[in-house]
Amino acid sequence: MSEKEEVLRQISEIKNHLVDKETFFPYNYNACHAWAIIAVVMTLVMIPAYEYSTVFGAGLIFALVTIGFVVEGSLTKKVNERYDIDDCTKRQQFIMKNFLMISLFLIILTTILAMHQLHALIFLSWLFLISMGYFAVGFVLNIKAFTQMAKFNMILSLVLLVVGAYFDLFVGSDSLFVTLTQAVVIFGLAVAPSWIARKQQKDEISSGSCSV
Amino acid sequence: MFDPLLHQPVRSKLLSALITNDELPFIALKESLKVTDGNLSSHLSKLEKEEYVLIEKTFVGKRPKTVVHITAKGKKAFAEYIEALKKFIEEN
Repeated sequence: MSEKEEVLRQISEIKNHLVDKETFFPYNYNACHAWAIIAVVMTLVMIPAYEYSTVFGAGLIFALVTIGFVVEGSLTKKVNERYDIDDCTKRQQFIMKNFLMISLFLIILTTILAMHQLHALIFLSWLFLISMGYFAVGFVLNIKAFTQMAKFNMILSLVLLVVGAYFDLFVGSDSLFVTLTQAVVIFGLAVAPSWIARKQQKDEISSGSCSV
Repeated sequence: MFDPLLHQPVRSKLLSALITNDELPFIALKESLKVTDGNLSSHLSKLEKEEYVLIEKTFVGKRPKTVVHITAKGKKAFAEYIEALKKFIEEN
């Protein structure tokens, strides 16, 4: 290797390491798997819980969301400890705050919709708004698969919204349309994010990146 | 022509990471540079001897924590090293 090639290689190496710690401190993708489990449980228990009582339903959903954030927080702490980092990075804070705000809004919205027996609309709201959260995460972390999944989910929820409104399918809890929206939510908010997270983990391990 | 202390792959990458972040924990540097504890310690000792970095050792509870800071001298040396690299490329 000539001296010029050596210097160019050195410059390239330096450029690669001129990264802000926000960039290379990781996001713990295991949180996506935890959220996937919570999404499945929530989708299956939401209607019976709200039919039992609105307060019980809201309380149960709040508890499940809280468990999700506690799990995500502990996973984030675990991964940060690996790097001797005491606080959350700005990116980690952004992700948590983003989903926290959306979840709190959704709990209120769900309670209102449940009081009017609009169960299909509840699932479509969760699908649309949580997908918005995934879109933001995908955009900030530059994970194209997340933004594409979020776009697909949002479009799908809007299509189902139009179909439901046109055929007046929102009221009730035991219609085929409710089952369909439940299945779509499980796929869109549990199966797809978990699959993407797994792919991200595999990609990062094979590329030798710092993320976990 | 080039600062011999910085014209070395691990040390130049180490200073690159520090110049962007001012300070980084030892473990984060190790992960970022993909080097062993001993290798990183050896390079840090050389940089510390020339006062390019400052190594701070503290305890978080009972756990030791080492944080590496870049000094003003280190920043100046790194800037001069980058200039020297640029000049070399322009002239060759």
